[in-house]
This record gives sequence, C-alpha cells and structure tokens, in this order.
Amino acid sequence: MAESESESERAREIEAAHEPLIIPPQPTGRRIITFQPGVARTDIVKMVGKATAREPVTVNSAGSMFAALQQVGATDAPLVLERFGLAVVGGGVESANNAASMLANLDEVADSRPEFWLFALAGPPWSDDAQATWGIHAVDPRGTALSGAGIKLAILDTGIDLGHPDFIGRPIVARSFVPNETVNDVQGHGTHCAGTAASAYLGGGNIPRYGVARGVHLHVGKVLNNSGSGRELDIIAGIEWAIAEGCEVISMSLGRATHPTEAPDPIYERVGEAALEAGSLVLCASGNESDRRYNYIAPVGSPANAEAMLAVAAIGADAGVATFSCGGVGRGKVDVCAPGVAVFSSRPRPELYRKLSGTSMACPHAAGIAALWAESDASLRGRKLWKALTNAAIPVGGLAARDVGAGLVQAP
Amino acid sequence: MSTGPKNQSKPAVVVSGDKELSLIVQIAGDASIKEVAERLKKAGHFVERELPISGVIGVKGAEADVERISRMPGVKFVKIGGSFYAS
Repeated sequence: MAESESESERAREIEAAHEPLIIPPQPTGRRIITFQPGVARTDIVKMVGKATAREPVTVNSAGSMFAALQQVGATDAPLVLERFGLAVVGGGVESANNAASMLANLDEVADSRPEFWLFALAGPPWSDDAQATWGIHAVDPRGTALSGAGIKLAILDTGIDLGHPDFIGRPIVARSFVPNETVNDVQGHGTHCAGTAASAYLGGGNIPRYGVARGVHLHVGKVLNNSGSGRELDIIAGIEWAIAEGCEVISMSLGRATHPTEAPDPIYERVGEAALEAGSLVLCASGNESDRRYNYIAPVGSPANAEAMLAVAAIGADAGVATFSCGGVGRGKVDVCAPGVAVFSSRPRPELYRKLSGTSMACPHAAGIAALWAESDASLRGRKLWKALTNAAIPVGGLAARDVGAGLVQAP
Repeated sequence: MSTGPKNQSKPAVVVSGDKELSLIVQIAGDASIKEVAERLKKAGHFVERELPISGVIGVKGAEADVERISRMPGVKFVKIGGSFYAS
C-alpha cells in the first residue's frame, strides 16, 4: 500500500513536472487603440492629441515609418498609423491607461488593449552538427568524463557487423540465439542500435559523434533473425545470457503491438524482475504503432509494457513526441524518452552510416545513458539504476507523462 | 516451407510460415526447473531450452498439449511463444 501511494505520488510529481509551460503575455506599458473603419485620419490625430495632450507622430507611408519610430522612441509621443486606423499611446503606464480610457469612450474607437512584446519563435532545440548528432546534444554525454568504462552493455537485436570501423578491434562479446544464423548483422538494425549506444567514434570531419557510451564492454546477442523478427523463446534466452554475463544494462529495441486492454505478459514481468534482482536493467523500445498525425496513440507494446521493463519512447529534434511513438494509453506505461527521429548511426558495411527513426533508436540512447550512470556510482544497479535514470530525466516542453514518462534521459 | 522432424522419436515440430513454434512454460516460484524439465521429457516432450534465471522452459512442438502441461506440478503459466520484431 505504502509502495502504491509512493508510486501515485511520484506519478503526480511527473504529471506536475509536465504541466505545459505557459508564459503570460508581456505588456510594454503602451496601449493600442483601434478606430472604427472610415474614421478620418485628421479626426484620429485630433482625438489622440486631445486624449494624450501631445502632438501625435503620424505615419502615412512605409517610407515615413522608420523616421516616425525614431521620433516616438526618442520622445514617447503618441503614434498614429493612418493606413491601419491605429494609434499607440505611451508616456508611462498611467498616462497610457488614462488616454486609452478617454479614447475607449468615444464612438469612433472600436478597441483598446495593451501592447505586448512579441518574440522570435524558437527554432528546433537540437540539430546535427559537425561535432555530434542532435541525439547526442539532447542527452548530453559530452559534458562528462564518463564513458561507460567497466560497464557491460548488451544489445539484443539483429546482431552486429563486427568489421564496421566502430567495432573492429574492440573486445566485443557476441552470440547468436537464432538457429542457423551467425551473429553477423545482415538486416542492419542491430548495428545501428549498437552504434548509438556504444560507438567509440568521437566526431570531427564529416561524421558527427553519435555513440553515447563509447567505453562500455559491448555484448551483442543476436535474437532477431536476418529479416528482423525473432522467437520469444530465443529473446528470453538472450536476456538470460546477458544477465548471466553480468550486463548491467540490456537494450532491447524489439517488441510487438498490444491491445489497450491487454495485461502485461507475466513471462516478461518475471524476466524483468529476475534481471533487476541480478543487477541488470532491461530497457525496451515502447513501440512504433501510433500515428499521432491522426491523434491515434497506440498502447506501449510487449515486452515494454511489463512493469519490470523500462519503456523508452521517442522524441524528435523539435522536442516533440515522435508521431509513431507508443504511449501509456493501455495497461503499460512509458518510463522515459530519448531521441528517436532521424537518428544517424552506424550501418553494416559497405553502407557504414544511415539515419533511422523509431523507438528502436531511442532505446539505445537511453541504454547508453544508463551505462554512464552505472559507471558513475557502483551502487547504481538494477532498481537503483532505474531510479537514477528516471530521476535525472528532464521534462520536455509540455509533453505529458503518458508520452514521455519522467522525461528525456540525461547524462550524469 | 515445412522442415519436418528428422528424428521421429521427438514430437513433430509445428511450423507456421518459416517460424518454428515453441511453448513457453513458466515454472512456479518454488519449483525446480530441472524437475519440471524432467517431467516434460518423461511426458514425451522435446525441451528446447531451460532458462533458470527467467524461470522459463521452452518446449518444441507441444501446442496441442498446452492444457495438459499447464496442469503439471511446478508449472505456473504456459503460452505459445510468438514473435517479436525490430522496432
């Protein structure tokens, strides 16, 4: 019960943290007066002059605007924009309000309101540049000396291209759980995920940095075949192998769609619990079945919907939730989010690099960050690592916990 | 394409498309995975994997016996294993 109340409290905190940030309009202290259509400009000048007891500066063409604004800026005189039937009165808040009140009583005046500051709209918060991908900028591993050194991170996916420049010569432990297929990644998905989580490439030249935790001891379990699908039993076997290998972090960019009323699978509840008890945190992609362009939000898929699996949703470089990203509309919930749109990472030779989108791309970002947290404090394992990752996540814009959980994962 | 079993002493492997199906048998918390696996073998089933950390046993080609296996001592839950996909 206490645990349940604590969880409810945490859920409320998360919701509160995700309340949309609404910045109230910022008044300049001046007021804008709108005159009725057809009121003669000479009458407007007279009325404004009388109300403000000052001679208005008038603008009757675009060419006279600059000089007029300079004069108004220097003298705080009222301004009449003849073409638009508008006047702007200033001279301090009190004077402006008094003049506006007088004018508002006239039949010739249609409206009076404060003038507000307007701001340039902010551009996308992150973008790819020569140093790093937008995803790296968003989760920010470059501000720390941590690299995941000493941490075992498992990617359970379609295998890996061990001859890729990112991985050649590294002490990678790899094993295939797919009958009759080697660990070599033919499909490409696994190599991309491994690159995001653990590429050691540090950027520069024409290729930006895209690997989060370059120092981890990478473990690769091939649990999806060369067509990108895999039997559940082989996937569970892969998880079990990663746990037995002592992997502190296990990244699974895989799953299947669920129905909103579908209960989490007890198999994965137990597998996830066993992993946490053994000190392994399993992160799962939340799924790509939503189509938010049409307001359709699909429930978190399986196995990400299991309570004991940490579900990762995807956001884009615009800090918006990815249109495809599954949300907490059914029995499952999203725990955190990470970059998952147009993610640049490694690709099996000869292609070497490609941009892909999906919660599959978000999951290894979060897994890499989890590895950095695990390196930062040897006590952060299993549930403690889960808490460290979610507690450090930051709210994203006004996005709801339903879509991004505790928010965007962040490096220590 | 069906591959069919080569060893007729083992139960037939049911093939759906290109995917071989397996039963996923979750053992009860206090049960021994070895004992349950032995029980399954004695009942004529082909135990494909024993996963002690996960408390799971994979059984090939026993889809018709889901009900019977789910009633075995030490078995908590049985389902026909499906597929997951790269997401």
